[in-house]
Amino acid sequence: MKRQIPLMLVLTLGIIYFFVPLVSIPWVVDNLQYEVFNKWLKIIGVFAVIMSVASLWRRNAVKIKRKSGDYAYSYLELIGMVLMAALAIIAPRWNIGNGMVLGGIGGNSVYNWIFMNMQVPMQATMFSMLAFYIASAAYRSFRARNIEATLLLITAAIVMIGRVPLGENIYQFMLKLNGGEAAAFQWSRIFDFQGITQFILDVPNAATKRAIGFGVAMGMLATSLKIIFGIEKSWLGGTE
Amino acid sequence: MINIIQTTIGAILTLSIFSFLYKDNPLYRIAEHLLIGISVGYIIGQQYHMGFMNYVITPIFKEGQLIYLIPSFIGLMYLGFFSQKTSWLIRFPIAISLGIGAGYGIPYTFQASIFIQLRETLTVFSEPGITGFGIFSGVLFLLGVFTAIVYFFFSWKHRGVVGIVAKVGIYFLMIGFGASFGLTVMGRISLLIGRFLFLFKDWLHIIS
Amino acid sequence: MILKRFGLVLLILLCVFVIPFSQQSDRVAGISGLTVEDFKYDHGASVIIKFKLSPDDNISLFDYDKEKLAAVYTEESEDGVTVFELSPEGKLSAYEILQSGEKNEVAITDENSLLKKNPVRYYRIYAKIGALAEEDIDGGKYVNPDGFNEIRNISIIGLPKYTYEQSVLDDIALKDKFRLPYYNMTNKEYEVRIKNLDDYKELLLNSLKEEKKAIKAALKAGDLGKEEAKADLAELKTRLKEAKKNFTMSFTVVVESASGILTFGEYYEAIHPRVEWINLDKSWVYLFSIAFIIMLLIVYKLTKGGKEYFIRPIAGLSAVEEAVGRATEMGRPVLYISGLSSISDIATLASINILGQIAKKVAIYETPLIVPAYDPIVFTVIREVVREAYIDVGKPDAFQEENVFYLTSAQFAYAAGVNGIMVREKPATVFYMGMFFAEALLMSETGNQVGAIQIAGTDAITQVPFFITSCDYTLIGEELYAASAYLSRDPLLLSTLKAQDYGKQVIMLIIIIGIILELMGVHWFTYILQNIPD
Repeated sequence: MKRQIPLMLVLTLGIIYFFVPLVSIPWVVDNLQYEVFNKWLKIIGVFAVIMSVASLWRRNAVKIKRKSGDYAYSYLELIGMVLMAALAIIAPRWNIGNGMVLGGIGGNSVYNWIFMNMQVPMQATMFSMLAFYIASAAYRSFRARNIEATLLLITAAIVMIGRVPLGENIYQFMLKLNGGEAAAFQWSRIFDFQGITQFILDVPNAATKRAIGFGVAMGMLATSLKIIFGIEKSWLGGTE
Repeated sequence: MINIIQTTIGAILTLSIFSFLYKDNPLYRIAEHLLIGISVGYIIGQQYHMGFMNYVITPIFKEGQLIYLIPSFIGLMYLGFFSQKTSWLIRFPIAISLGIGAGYGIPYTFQASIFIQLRETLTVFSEPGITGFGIFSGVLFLLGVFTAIVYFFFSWKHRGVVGIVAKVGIYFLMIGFGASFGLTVMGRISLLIGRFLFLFKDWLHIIS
Repeated sequence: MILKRFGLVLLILLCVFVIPFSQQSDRVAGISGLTVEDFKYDHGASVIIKFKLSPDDNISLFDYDKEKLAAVYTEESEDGVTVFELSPEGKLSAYEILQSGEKNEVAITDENSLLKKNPVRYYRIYAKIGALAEEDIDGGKYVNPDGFNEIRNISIIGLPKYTYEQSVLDDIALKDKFRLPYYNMTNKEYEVRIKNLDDYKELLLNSLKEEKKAIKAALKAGDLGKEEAKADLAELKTRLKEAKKNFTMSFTVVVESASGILTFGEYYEAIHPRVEWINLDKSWVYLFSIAFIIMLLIVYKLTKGGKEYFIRPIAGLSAVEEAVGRATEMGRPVLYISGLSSISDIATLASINILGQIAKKVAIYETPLIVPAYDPIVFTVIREVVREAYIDVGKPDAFQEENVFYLTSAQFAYAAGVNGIMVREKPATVFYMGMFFAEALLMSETGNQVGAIQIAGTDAITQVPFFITSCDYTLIGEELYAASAYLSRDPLLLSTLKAQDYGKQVIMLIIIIGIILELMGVHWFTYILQNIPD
């Protein structure tokens, strides 16, 4: 029963919802689509946040209790979480000057202030560090010296030059050497980085995206069907 | 005053995160754990107000729409997670989300990922007044699509003709990926410049 | 080491050369090159990048692939420029910035606007398009005395007609205009389908109510005579009655040719919409879906009956065994990242299936397996899957519960946490399976720095190049979905791969036939596909 009922649920709902987009009877559209997607699934999902709190709490509590390694940092995690949660949920909406409010999640709340001035800069910094990582990743594939990595890197370099003013400058210079637009043999075309970039994006890039897209669609369809028909059931987690 | 405090806090945290580029150090650790804690707390606040109050408390207790007790009950089954004996309860809400998602996704995937893509592929030569270069591009495009699809065939041995075709396919894939790589670089660098501007302009006022 | 050397060089270069000259890019900082795929948007927590946009800016908010980058409008406004915050998902955004010609337009796609309030419903309406004279159309070819030749398409655009502030309505209405390709224009009575009629109706009724209020206010203020007001109200009443029953649309004939677009014949007609019960334009989608399902089930049944199919090896998956063995030899843990998506994402399910297989291999050697989860629901499933794997191979005591945990659901906070885990725990092997966004390279580069063997698999096309450059093996797209079947070596699961191959062969066949027909001038095949809504 612990396995059969969930499997039956998936099968029944899977089959019903397979046909839902086909039907546009008002009752079906209003209830099975609108209500379920906008309300029911959201309500069901809301409760999952409890597990995230529990897991974070337990992980850090265990660390602190065992005094293992860097357990002092665990306090920081707990303080951060509890502070933000308390400000959002429990704290009274007192005016604390400077136009700010202690509790709640409004635009002028302390909760939002911490988010904007601590979480956002840190996340943006993490994001910006990608510039360094991209450089080292490129350097590594440059050293790899196999034909695939070389192709990838050369294309990347062309596209990069094609996207900055430098590419256009090189082309204009080469065009001048070539004798301008009127020249019979336009060898300078091979330096037209913008044009080449556009060609790469329109042809090989678009082609591979499409090919991968078809494959991914097939994989998704097969996986969905395996789940609906109970062929793949590892999501159940247990065997009993 | 509050402006200075707020940019200083932001700047210190920014530098702490950047310090990871050199090596792992206590400053980075402080920032990292603080970030994780705050971000989880932020999610709790959002979920409480935007989710729990909006979708559960207000409709059920203030507006008396008792029908929403059913999804709430299903959602509460997640709490079975806390004991090994009841952990099977969480399969019910998951089964419901999965069944609905998987079933609804099949026609959608067909429509968006196969039919619409097919439509775009079939009309490669249909541009009015297509030039020789256009035809060449179209042929190359189709070659790319076909060879890359062949590369993904699981039941064909990559030997002989299929092997060569798959090899061409992987070259196409690499050129395609290279283009994505190249496109991203400038965006990432401008992000980094954005952070530096925050440090040098908003915080230190070195550049105006 | 490479990272440090490169990072420092780049840092110095930036400080010396770029920053002093970067005043221009201040406004654009953080925009160019970003795509929707870079972000993971969950629970309202996302990266917020502010940028300014003034009316004469020429910033393209599309990248080359025309993928839309949405922006949430904020109330702030500094020196006449608008400050936007980027949000990764269009559906959550209030405003969308479109590039048209050289200027940026801001189109309203407000979630709270009337259009999104009502569920999408299709209506079938019948209308006689009177403006189109019979002699104008000759077997689908438009004949125009002004030498308006090389007709590409003739279509009719229908717009709902209201008495409401027109500038707002135009934006909304244009989104839902419908077009009839000329193949369909042989009958004089046209059958068209329209979406969101309820919203238009509501707008219309609201505007009529507003008018009523205005008349009453005018009467009170004395701007309007009693008799006039009475007549106006009576007229309004009939209009309201009419609006509740019928609906007026305007039809415009549009001729597109090589030399431009010509519209003529605006024509209004009251229509009598009827709700459709079946979405007929989805019939082809369903035909193919059902055919695929049947094929998959046949292949499955044949395999159950003992038929075997050849499945070629995949390098990244053959290496799993070796990668796990290496961790055991070195006495270091295995790290598994299950992607940054929810349980309803099929890629996450594929990832969970793969984790089940890998956890079994890891459990045999009693090597620690660290799984930081991004999504709370995925976390609960993962915990059970890993526990089960340890029980399955008969080592339930080796399962360490604290190694499978929820980290956070904020994209870059998650990346920061994973980076921390990597430098401290020094995993010998790292797996990245599932859906990834811009944070992918942050994690995989750090993994590379600590010397781990890395195997990645994702269907996020934009992140594949970064995994290729920083990981030892990368499963591309469909290979991710095939991975759990490969690892399990279960012939029944492997059989679905054969079905996928058949599906791809059908796709290739359709492309070949379609292009040949298109070149021969037979358009009905493409037309079927064109009729499927986006």
